[in-house]
Amino acid sequence: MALTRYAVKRLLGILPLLFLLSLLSFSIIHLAPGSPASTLLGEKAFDPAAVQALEERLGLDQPLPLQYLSWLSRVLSGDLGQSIGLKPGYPVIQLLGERVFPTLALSVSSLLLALLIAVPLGVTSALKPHSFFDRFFSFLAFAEFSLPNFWLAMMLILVFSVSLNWLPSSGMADPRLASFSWPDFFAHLLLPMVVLALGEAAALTRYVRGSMLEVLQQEFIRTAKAKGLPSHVVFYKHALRNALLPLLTLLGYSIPGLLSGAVLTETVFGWPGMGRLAVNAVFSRDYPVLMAEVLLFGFLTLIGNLVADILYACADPRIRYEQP
Amino acid sequence: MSNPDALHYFLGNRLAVCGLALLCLLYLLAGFTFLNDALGHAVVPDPDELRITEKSVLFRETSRRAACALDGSALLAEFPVLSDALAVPGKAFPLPFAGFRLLRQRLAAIGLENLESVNSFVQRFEVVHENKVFELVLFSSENQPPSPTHLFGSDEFGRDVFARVLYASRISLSVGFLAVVIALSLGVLLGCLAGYYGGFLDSVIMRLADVWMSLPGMMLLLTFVALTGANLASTILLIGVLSWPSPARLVRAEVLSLRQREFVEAAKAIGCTQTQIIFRHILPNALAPIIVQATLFLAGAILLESGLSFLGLGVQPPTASWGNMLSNGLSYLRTSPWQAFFPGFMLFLTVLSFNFVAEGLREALDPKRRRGP
Repeated sequence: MALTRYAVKRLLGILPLLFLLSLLSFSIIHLAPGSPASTLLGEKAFDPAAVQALEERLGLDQPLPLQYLSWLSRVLSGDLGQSIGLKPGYPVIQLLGERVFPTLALSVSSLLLALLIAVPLGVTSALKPHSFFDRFFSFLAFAEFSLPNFWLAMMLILVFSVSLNWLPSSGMADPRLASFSWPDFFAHLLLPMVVLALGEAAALTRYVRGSMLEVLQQEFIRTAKAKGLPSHVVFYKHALRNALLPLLTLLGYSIPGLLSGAVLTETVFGWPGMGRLAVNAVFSRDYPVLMAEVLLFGFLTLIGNLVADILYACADPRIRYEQP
Repeated sequence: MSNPDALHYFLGNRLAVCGLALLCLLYLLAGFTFLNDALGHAVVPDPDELRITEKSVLFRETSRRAACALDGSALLAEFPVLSDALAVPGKAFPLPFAGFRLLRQRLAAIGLENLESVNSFVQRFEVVHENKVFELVLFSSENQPPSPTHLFGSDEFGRDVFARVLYASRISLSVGFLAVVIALSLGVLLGCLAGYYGGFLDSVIMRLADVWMSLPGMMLLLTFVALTGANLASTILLIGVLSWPSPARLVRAEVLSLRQREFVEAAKAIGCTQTQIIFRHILPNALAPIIVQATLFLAGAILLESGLSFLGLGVQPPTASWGNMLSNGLSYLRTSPWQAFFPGFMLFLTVLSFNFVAEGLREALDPKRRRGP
């Protein structure tokens, strides 16, 4: 019961954030140089009649709050406007839709890989703190944290694509192939996935280690040991389960980092994802696409945080549902 | 760092001291480029000051006609502009745009038939300057691998990558520094207000920080760049303004715990104004975590700037920054990988040093985080 109340409370708490987010996205077109109608028309803006016609059609002559409301209702019904720079006249929602799968494939697979790297490393480091193993991987995590991931990406291309010629250096599919094939897709996915995953894994390893150390200090671990349970049961059953709980939250909060990191990684690898779309939209001053991206990225982040918090509350009964 | 114990502890941390030493060296080198500017590029010519386009056109033109011609000295006699340039070592090639245009027209007019070999002319040019290490920046061959003359190789315009990395360091370091100053002043001010006054002001500022942090930073940066256009000043400002929430949160938390303490009560009792209490009594006590945060931020801001410049949305060429050198390097990755390797490596070293120093400071300033013996 308390959990439901907590979830509802968090859901209500997110509404003002969504409102501010939509306001931010809405204001982009009005902050852009030139009037919105002439911006939207692009090349054809020299014709005053066309500008006026568009202004009337989009209701740009109305007061701003009314414009905001009509824009919001259009967005909610799935109409994000039309692209003006990248593919003039093409619906933005379709443009974004084409990019969802590559971005999702890249971020989900790299998150999984990051977990696969981070959990064993973090746990092993925590079992013998300040041992050689621990210090070595702490140092590595630290170094990876400072590594510009686009540079790492270029160095990996240099080694695996240019020198060894094992993996393709860019794109999502070999243009010589007539149809989509999974092995080809994975070959293209591998390098960007590793780059993104390494960055994520560095932070996760430190986190798992810290959380594991904290749990190992607690009394129920001492009790378990005192009962005479074998140490692997204590570590991998009692301690690990509790240590991994906070990871749920961290995964939710890592969404913006993944998406931001993906902007650079996607650019290096020519991966046709949403991050690269955003960069291209900036170059061609495609404001409707940018507005949609801001809205989408922000929305995903908020939802990620919300889901993480609620999952955490479900998993850990000790959490207090009442906010202080 | 008033506490001698903390200083001692910091100096005992080898990695942090190495990081600090490296950073000092980097800042010295960056400062040296300013001095070098003042001396008229006497020591290291600014590769960006060269009129790259004209020069590379001339270079290509001459190498294409490499088959024909005469002695280099004849060429020099023919074109006094060139011999002028050679006579003043250490100066950037002082040819005005029009002069080059003229030179190219004349080269075309005579068809270079009476020149022995344009390549020998180029070689001769190099020989004249052989005694100066970086001189070849002026008019060297394109895409040279690293060698004693070009420590880091040369790029597609024949510019020395080492000199460019050096000039880029001052851009990257100062961008990071200024962005952190902006972020910290905003964050500290808002954090103090939120923490000290609490109530409505607190919840407004903190909700704002929530929204700010819930947006992917890169996305916001991209949007603002699309609105304001890409240049150095807006890059600094944007990175600074973008990063205010986390220092604000940190300062707020510190202020919240500090304002309950006795010394604040004492300050109130002797009639200090609120400004005095915040800035003279509370803030100095919250300084330690702020310093650590600022150091971490410096690293983050430098990474952000190079990321933006890498995308072509930050510092614009021909001004060198590690980011735009890297994006240049990406296009020449197959033919001249050193163009991508060295700027990125410097970036990595810088960020790593900042992180080590931050970690060292954190451990030194906060006894609870120190490792056991």
